[in-house]
Amino acid sequence: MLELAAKVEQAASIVKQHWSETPLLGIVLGSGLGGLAEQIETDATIGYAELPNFPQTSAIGHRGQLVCGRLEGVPVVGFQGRFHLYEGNTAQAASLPVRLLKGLGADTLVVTNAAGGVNPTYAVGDVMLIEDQINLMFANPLVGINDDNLGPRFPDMSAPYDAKLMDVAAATARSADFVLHRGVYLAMLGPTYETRAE
Amino acid sequence: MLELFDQIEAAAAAIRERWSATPKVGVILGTGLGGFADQVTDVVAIDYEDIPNFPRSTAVSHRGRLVCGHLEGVPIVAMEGRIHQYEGYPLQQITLPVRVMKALGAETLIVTHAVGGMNPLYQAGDVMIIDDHINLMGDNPLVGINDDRLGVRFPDMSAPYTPELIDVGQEIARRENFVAHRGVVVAVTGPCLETRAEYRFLRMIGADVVGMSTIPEVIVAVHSELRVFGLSVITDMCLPDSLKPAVVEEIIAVANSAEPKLRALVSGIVTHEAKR
Repeated sequence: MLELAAKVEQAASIVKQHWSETPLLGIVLGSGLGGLAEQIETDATIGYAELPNFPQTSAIGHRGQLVCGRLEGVPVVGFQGRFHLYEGNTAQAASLPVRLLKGLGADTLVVTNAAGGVNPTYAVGDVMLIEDQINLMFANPLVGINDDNLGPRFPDMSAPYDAKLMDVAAATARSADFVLHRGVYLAMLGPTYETRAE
Repeated sequence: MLELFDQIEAAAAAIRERWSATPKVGVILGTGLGGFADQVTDVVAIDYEDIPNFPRSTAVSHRGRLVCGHLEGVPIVAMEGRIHQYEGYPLQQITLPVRVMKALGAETLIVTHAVGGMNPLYQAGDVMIIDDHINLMGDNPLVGINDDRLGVRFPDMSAPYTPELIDVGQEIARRENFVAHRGVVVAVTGPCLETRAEYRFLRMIGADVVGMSTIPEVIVAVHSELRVFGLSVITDMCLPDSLKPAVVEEIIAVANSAEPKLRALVSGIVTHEAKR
């Protein structure tokens, strides 16, 4: 994992050539949610192909570009298209955009995804705030020799999702008058859907 | 996954050179069940090593040849000896024979394997018709760029085992007067057998039996839009609170003793499929 810092640095310098601002946050747009990028007042778009070491997206509904600009006046980077393990990417490659975001100076990551509901009180079309997660992907992006410059060897996972941001989101949903569940997200490798037994 | 298409074509062409019939059904014979192939008539047997891109079977009691011929007058291909993830093969290669069966024209896949029983109502020597599965192998044969010529990106898995064939299987068992359970199999990588704590865990998540194969082949069969019938032969009981060390020779002996039931079920399903 020691070559990772150099890869991140290289990708960040290319983004900086196109866009000189420091993003406050980054948004990863999941399946079918790429359209949210249209809300961003765009200063620059950078195709993943232009970024060295970036994998290419092959998934339907994922475009594969970085959208740099402003959302509500705040500098942001939107990742239009994500990398999945089922496409054959390693977890380390799939999480490279997040390292890049940090390399660009962002403090906050917003992740979105399309999911199947297994809680019977949910309905299709609802949104759920991710409160916690279960990793059943049989892979971890931190496997390998740890680079202490990127982070600690054993990251604490007692609260991976920021509690304050969850409260803000809950308040947002209340004031906008829509249902926002708060629950646990479980990730599988795919690409098959789950059986009934699963 | 895009090179897979050519590999399938090459393997299918090599088989067609030796055997020109179109199989109705493909059968995969698991541990201790290889003797079943003796039922097949007009046999053309092709060693896996003579089929391009086929993996080699290294597991105990798996012979490693493709038996082409007729069962109850119906053209079939049977894999005498399967390939397992624990042998070190990637799932995409393990499941290549299923894609080749599809390319040869088969419409149905019958999979059999030896499993450990965790449902306390089961007994060693019983057979279970697979109703559903849980994939805990930590991998999926469809990982990689999808080739749309072979199947869809996200296969639905709401009924991987054809419900009609489950019913037919149960009718056969009733008629022949033996017990055929209907349950859920969980697949793990192996090759070690499970600890008591693992058996408790696997039972808790809803599995009746545990094995080290079959699910990858079934996933690829669903991807290939084949009809699927799955049979588990319970070769030993894995009850965590009275667990005895497993003896592989005994497991194989029990699998062999269950062969008459297996024969009745596979023959019945093949006959049913021929009438479709």
